[in-house]
Amino acid sequence: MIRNIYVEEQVRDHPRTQIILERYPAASVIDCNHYGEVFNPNSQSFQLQKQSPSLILANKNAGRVMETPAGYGVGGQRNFYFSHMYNCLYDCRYCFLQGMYRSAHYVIFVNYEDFFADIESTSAEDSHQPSWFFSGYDCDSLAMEPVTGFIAAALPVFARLPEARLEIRTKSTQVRELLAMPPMENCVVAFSFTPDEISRALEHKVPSVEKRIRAIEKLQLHGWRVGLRLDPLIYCDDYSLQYQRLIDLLFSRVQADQVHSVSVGEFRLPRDFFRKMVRIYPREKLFAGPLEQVDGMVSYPESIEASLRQCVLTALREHVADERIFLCA
Amino acid sequence: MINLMVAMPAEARPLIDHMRLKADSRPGPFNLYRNEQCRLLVTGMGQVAMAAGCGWMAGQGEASDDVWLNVGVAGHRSLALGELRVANRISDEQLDRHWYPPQLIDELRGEALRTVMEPSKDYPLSCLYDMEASAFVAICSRFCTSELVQVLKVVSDNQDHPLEHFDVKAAAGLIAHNAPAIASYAAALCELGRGYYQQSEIDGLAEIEQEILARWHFTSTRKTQLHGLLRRWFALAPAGQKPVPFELSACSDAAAFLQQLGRAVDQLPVTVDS
Repeated sequence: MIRNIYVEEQVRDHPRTQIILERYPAASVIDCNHYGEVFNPNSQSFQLQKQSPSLILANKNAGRVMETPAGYGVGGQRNFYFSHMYNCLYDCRYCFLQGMYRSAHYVIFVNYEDFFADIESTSAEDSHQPSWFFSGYDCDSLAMEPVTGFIAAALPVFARLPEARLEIRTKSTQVRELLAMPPMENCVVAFSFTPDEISRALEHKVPSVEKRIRAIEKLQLHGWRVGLRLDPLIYCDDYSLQYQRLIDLLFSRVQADQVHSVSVGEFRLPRDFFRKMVRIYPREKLFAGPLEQVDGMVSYPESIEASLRQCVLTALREHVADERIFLCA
Repeated sequence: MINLMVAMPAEARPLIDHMRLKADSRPGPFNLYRNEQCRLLVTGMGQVAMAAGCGWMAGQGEASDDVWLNVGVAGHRSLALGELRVANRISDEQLDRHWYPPQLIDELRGEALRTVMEPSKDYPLSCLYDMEASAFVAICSRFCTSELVQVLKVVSDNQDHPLEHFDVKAAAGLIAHNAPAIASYAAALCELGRGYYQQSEIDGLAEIEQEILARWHFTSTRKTQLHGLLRRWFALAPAGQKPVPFELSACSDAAAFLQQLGRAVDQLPVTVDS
């Protein structure tokens, strides 16, 4: 339940602001000059705010479409990400957002048309090869869709841009909008998974593995292209058993030949993010595991990473051809 | 511990009575009242007095679980006298700066507040007007996360009852009328603070850490290593297992101890269960 909504001066009269405000008639509306005044100050507690996050409605003036870090992608050469929102409805212990942001408030940038214009112009820069646009980098793409309507607004734009590809990355089961429209060839709905036991321990407020699989089944039945994202890989003593079970379960339910891509990502955090996350959750077992710091990044030692990666790749190759499996940095 | 910061004695008296606070007889620059859960300081009017009071109170350093609440009267163009509000946007007229105390307690309605140098007689904006809040939040949010620094104001004057007719006794009456709601909000703020401060501690870790530090000389780097290893031990060790898995006396120095503890931590089962 949203009890407070901060509204940036620049978007006070934006039609989308009005629609979102009407959704929360009981919320206090607080004016601000710039969203950073609320979102960026020091001396805020991410975990306290996570108990009852507020909404911040703002305008994204620049940096709407960014190149992805090297190694991020599912086979394309031109990879970009965009964030119409900062922060997430869910509360995953491994999530870098809690190390990156001081505030847990949800920032929604309501100037979607500016994002779409930037996506169109970025795509037009090279029409000889597809440009991939990844949604869900700083938020979950679908979890807040009933409030933002962003994906519903974005899909018609991508329908006009056949050379552009959209990845909607999510852990949400809010797929009603997608099921109500015809599937799009240049759009992949990518679901992130960790094994069930790990998910229950670390992915707070996230729909269960079972519910996410059911959402995939519905989307595939409707003709949508689906991706699977095993990211991040989490180590525990029985990881081999857990990941084998997850992968067997996934491919017993999803149509493997209809899976667009599977990507595998390692657990890796900038040192300062990790330190902040440990301060927030000092008793968290995930942060007490066999992690090491190399060149300012915290991750599992290479020997563990390699074993984990090999175990998952071996299990995946029983179901999916190598050319559809990608390692993400 | 809640730190109640109040500008005027007339604002303080109803809270002192309601919360049954006792005067602290120790000599000091401010009048201080207290009980086991609460300290109330009468700072005097204006931003400088409030800033001095906040600094002095923080300097007492008595509690590690402090939360901060500024309570007082304020003007408003149209709100009725006696209305109690929590400030959700605090602006400093002179500095042209704004603060947005995150609102996590759903007990009171919110209102914007403007801190001015001189009493405002014409209420140009539809917001609360006071003379201390911006100094309070600017100072206290340096000591404490801003969710635990809040401002409550009771409307004491408005366009129909302007400041010229301000009556100190009436102001005290308005605070007294709202004292139960203020005390309830203060209790909720304390509860929020308790959860916050407990979350960042591991039961028993500080005690064993002190014991180990007292035994050998640890360099600054080794102190950091020790804390990291103990944190990992406390997180991963099965419930009921000894805080440290071997006799301290078996180690000759800090380096040997860290080596042995590191080995023990690495042998613990790695699970993710909460």
